[in-house]
Amino acid sequence: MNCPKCGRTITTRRNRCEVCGQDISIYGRLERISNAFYNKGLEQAKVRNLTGAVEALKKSLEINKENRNARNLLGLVYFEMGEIVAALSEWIISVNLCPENNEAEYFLTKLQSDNSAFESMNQAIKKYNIGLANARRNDNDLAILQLKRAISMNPKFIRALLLLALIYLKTSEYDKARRCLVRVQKIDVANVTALRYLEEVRLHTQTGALSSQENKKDIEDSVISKVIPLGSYKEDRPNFMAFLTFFVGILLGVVMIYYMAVPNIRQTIIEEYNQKERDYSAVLSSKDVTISSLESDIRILESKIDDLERKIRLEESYKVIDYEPLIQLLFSYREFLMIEEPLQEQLEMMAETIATFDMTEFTDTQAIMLYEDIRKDIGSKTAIYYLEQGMPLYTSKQQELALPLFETAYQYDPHNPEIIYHLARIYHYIGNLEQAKGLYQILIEEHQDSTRSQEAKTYLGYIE
Amino acid sequence: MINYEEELARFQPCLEVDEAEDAILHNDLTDISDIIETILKSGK
Repeated sequence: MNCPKCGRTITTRRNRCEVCGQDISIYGRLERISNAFYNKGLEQAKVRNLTGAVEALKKSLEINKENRNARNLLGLVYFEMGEIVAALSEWIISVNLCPENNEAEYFLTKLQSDNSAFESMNQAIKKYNIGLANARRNDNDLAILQLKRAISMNPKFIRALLLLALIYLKTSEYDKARRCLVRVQKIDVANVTALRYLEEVRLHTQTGALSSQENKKDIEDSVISKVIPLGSYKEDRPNFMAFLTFFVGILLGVVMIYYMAVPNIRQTIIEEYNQKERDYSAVLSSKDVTISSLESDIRILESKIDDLERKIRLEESYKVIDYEPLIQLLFSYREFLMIEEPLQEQLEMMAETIATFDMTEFTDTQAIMLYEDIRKDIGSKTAIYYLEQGMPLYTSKQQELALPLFETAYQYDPHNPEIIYHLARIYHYIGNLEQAKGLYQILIEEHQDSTRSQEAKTYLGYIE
Repeated sequence: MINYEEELARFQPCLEVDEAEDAILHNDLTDISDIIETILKSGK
């Protein structure tokens, strides 16, 4: 239903409009009452109690004029009673109130599509009006004529049937009146006027029946008076003509059945067969449509599967590498560079971080080069730190104390000629000649441009 | 016993299709919701 205040569509379960806050509980209740009357009208219409249905449906509309079902059904009931204008009015109002998906449109279209029937109904109304005018002028013969025409044009025109019955009652033609009233009852079983007129007919025909019984008795009496007494007994002779006529009759009957009924039966069977064929064809065509739509669905799904497989392959080809640890390492390196004079612990921690960093995950050349640059820089700095720590000990001839410092420095930077030279000299001094020899050779072979290279040659000559 | 004249007086002329427009225009479409709304508005 729509909110009576703001016009928005709302559910009848709620007591207030969600938009404007209007209390709608009473409107919801009215809608339910209207529907209850509609249901009652529908039940009555189903059992052809059209008078009762009209009353219930009118009440339903008095409570809720927008009850589309009630209005459409009221129009249909009016139409069934021959009240074509009333039916049209209800359907047109219904379409105006609820233009969307309204069955009334179907009724109006169907009524207007059959022009001859529509015109015939309109003519029936005109004849009824003329008949009524004649009856009021007490011109019963003309009235009966017009009303009969009206009924022939619209056989369900209850108003015309009732008026005709009334005129027949007046002219004491009770049988004719009863026939009209029975026709009314076939259309509307509980028509009150028809019931009252039938009661009137019954009252008159009971007395009429008595008089007819008396007449019948008179007739019987007269018949009995004409009975002739039986004479002497005579045996009947066999009547061959009767037998002949009987058999000829049977023969003619069979021939007539063969020529009249058999073609009809055959035609019916052929029509049934054709109908079944048409039905099967329709079913097959609908199946074909279903199959083609399913095939197109399959094609769409296959293409989707291909796309997804392609995407999966593409995803697999791109192995996701987590650069987060490397970025973290870069941050640590940047922080280390900002320290002007790093302590031993800071140096060692940075060197340890770099040494233990796992580069196996990274296949990118740029990343590897970056890591190598950092590793070399930190290694060089650490080595120089240990070199500077060891040099005072070296110059003061404390070789045993200087040895671990230079060994550590060599570990961090094995390409620094100063570190190699001093470590070789310490080894030479403490008598570890093999180690000293190896380092002298490294200086001679790999650091020829260094001044330490010549000195290494000299000391190597002493060892050898 | 029915009274013919009284019964006949109950029968009214039927509207023809040409007169349907008037019937629709003069149809009273007031329902209980309209009456309630009018009462509520007048109360305010």
